[in-house]
Amino acid sequence: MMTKVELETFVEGTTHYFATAANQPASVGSPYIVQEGRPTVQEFTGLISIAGKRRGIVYFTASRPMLTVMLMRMGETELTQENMCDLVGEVANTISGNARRDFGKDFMISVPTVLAGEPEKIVTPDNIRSFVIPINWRSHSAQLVVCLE
Amino acid sequence: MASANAKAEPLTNGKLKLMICDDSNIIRRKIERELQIERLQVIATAANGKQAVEAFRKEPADVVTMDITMPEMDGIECVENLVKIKPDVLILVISALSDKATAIEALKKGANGFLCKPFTDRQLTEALEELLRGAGNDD
Amino acid sequence: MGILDLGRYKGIVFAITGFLVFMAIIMAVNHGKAGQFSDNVAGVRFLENRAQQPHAVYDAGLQLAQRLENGEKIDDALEALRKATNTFETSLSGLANGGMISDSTGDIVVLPAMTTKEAVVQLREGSKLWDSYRVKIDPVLRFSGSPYVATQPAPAPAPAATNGKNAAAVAAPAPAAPTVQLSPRGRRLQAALNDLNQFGAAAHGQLGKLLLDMSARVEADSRKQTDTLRYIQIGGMVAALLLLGAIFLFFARNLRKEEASSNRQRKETQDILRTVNEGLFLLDKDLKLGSERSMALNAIFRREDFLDLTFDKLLKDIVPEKTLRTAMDYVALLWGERVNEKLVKTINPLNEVEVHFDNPAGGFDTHFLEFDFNRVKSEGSLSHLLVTVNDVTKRVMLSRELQESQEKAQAQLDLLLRILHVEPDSLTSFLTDADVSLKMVNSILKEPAREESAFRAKIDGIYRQVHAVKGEAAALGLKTVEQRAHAFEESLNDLKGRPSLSGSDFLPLVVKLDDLFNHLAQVREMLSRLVDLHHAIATRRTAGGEVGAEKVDQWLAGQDQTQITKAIIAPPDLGETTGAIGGLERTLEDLAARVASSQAKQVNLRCAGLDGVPEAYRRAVKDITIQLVRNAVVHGIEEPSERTKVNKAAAGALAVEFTPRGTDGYELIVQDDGRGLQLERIKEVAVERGLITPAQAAMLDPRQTMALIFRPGFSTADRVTTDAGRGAGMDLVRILVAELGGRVGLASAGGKFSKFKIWLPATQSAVAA
Repeated sequence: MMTKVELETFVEGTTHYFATAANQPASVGSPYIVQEGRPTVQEFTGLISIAGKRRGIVYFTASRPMLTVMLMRMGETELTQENMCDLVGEVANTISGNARRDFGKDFMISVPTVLAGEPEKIVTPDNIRSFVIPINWRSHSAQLVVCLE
Repeated sequence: MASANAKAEPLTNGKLKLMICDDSNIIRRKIERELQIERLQVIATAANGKQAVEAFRKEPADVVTMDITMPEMDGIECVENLVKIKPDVLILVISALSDKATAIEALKKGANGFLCKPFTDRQLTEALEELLRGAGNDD
Repeated sequence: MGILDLGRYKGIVFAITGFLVFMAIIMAVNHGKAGQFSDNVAGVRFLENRAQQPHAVYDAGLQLAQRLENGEKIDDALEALRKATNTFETSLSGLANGGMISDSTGDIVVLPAMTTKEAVVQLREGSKLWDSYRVKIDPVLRFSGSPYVATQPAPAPAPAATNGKNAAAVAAPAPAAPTVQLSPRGRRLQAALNDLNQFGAAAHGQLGKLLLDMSARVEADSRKQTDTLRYIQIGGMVAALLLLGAIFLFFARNLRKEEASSNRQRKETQDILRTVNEGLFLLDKDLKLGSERSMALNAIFRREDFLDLTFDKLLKDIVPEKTLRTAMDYVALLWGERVNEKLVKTINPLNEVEVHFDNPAGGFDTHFLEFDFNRVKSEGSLSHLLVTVNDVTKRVMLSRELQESQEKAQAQLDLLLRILHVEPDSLTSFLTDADVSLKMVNSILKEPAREESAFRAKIDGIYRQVHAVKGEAAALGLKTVEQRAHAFEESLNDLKGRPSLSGSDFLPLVVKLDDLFNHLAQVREMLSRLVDLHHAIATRRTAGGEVGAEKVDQWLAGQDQTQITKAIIAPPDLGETTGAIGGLERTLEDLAARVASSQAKQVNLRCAGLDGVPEAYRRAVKDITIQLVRNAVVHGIEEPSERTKVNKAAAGALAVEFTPRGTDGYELIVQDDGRGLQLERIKEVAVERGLITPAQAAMLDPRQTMALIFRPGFSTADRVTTDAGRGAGMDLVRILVAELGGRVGLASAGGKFSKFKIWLPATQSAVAA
């Protein structure tokens, strides 16, 4: 069974990134479950795989407009695809770091991979429901998706 | 720190002295009752690490069975203290196998072997015999 | 390795030692022979020197005779003869007495060549000759005084006659001159001298030759010895070479043999290492992997390169950090001598360790590896750890699956035992309803929310759904579902009390929701299995097989009949709602009985008209009646002892009636003969809960007081239990009724009864039976 602590760790990793790197905290939206079908995938996705006590994936997915604003807030003038990929990768990295800190002894956590679009490349374990936690930042909304056995 | 005056005097009947250290009365009695090794004689039992160290200071045993989770002073700290008093004491850690890292910690502090709870009398006898056969044996 | 323990080098050490000893012997012999050689050189020189001596004696005799003839002084010549005689005699007797000579430094040297048989014979002959010679010399030497007549003037001093040649030259005119007057003694001397010189003329040559022979002999001997020495040297050389050759050959052969056998061994080892299924390698003190390792390692660790790899690097990326640390500690312990290897096997942290390999396609591949460590001792001390690695993934998976299925089976059995008490239709309808409820919860959650008010607004809606699930589960006696729903409610209550809310606060809710979903899925699976089982049993029965009518069967038979009935002949008097409503009646009966027994109360429930609940209201009626029945048993009906005191039957009477009122809609009445609403207690609780102030309480009339129980957050049960005490029950009833556009009426008389009267409007779809 997924535990509250586990979810909290992933959420904290994400919000931590916004508070420190994007200079403006994000708020956590109302979480929900996706039982059938694919959870949301936006234009850019940073993903980590997890093995060990739990198996599956955790990803952060955000829209181009949101990432554009984030980059601007961070003082980046080149609003390229590459930089947006970097950004979601960084968020995934922060999530992974948080998870390592909290469950390093039970989990194996992969290095983040980044996808621009390509939702078909996100393979969630079969028959496993996903937890979707909206991450609201300014007027935008990204999603943290936790799909673990 | 180490009290060097603690020297093991062999028992007059030539047996080795055994101290049992476990917070469970049942386990202590079980070990005493089931001990079927001629060469060993129980000289003390202790319900916690503190008692064990005190008893050991008075009369150091040659062999000690040691529980890990005990009140007052846990087994790991106790092992450390006993080895300071008598470096060549043989210590068999007896504990439930919940956390291997803890058991390994006790061995690092100077214990010689490990027996998993729960154990049969035969397992206990074999483990103690193996312990007496000598630490560091390869066969 | 001990100093004396030569091991395989024993042979070569012995051979070299033998060779050195042999060389030393040859050197010693050589040295001895070389010493002899210098002796012989001295001997030759000596003998050549002495070969002149007989000649000197003879010369001295001639000179003496010459002097005498010339009438010269003879004393010194006589003395020269004596000296030459003595010198030669000493030399000869030394030679005859065992070949002793004295060399130039005066040391006595023994010449072995003089002791040979021929030499001895020759020497003896020489001695004899000398003896004869000596006999002739002696009378001459015995002479003393002057050989001349006394009147004769003293002769002129004789010329120095040390040289034999001069003497011989002078001796030529041997006959004495008639001018010299000899005394009679002189004449005797002259005669003796003539005799001597006559003998000596031949003898001195023989004696000289003898000595020269001797010299030649020694020289020959010396030459012979030199040859011997050379032979010995050559022989030694050859022997040494042969020995070396032999050693070389021997070792070459041995080496070849050893190499062949070690090659064979190496090949065998390699064959073993190549083909063995286990991963094998050695760890040295620095925890580096040895060069010899089994090929299986490549497959196990998915790498080719193990060169200079340390054990922690091997494990670093595939096991969690904590496991790695523990493992390194363990291995370090094995290197220590203190720990007993056998007694620590059980705490080997790598015995069945879960490892994760990066999958190139993304994610991880999980395997289970089993490491075994054995100390390898060489020369009595620990040299290596032999590490055996096996991939035990299949075994672990199988045993895990087995364990999981056992655990699941156990859980299912528990569930089964509960389900067996539940009427199947009720269960099916519960599962459908609960699923709808939970999906509703999820969609409430999914509604985007940013402001606190939006979050807060969700709580009540979620609460209602969860509470309904809990109520039904309780009614059916599905304890496991009820407990989960109860926990969900607790979380919601916790949120309600919080001053501020955000999405993070909702995380526990999704986790609990997930848990409920999973649990209901289990129940559903259980149910479908039971149905399958029933079909199997039914099939076998129709085929004539005899199967005991067990409880499962009975239970299932009921369900099956219902299904068959539904499918084939729908009885006109029941209609299509039969199953569900029949289910509700039973659900309420079960609930009442269960709650009563948990409260140590007795109750008789009478239901009427529930068959006529229209489809549109079925769910609401169910939720409402469950709530009211539970409340009636918990709050209304007294304990049997209390009831008998006031002359009531021990068992409380509880009635649930559903009545269609035509165009006025429907009426639902739930009535009990319990203690009625206790107005003072309600006021106290309302004050406690902060719903009203004490001042307000004092001013409330009975009607207003009764209305308090419908306020959110009101409950009169002292403890929070799953049966009551949530305070949401009546609130929920009010909300459900309001949602349907109905009204709630309440009548109560202290100590006599409570009566809930609910009016629901007529609906289009609701067709009264």
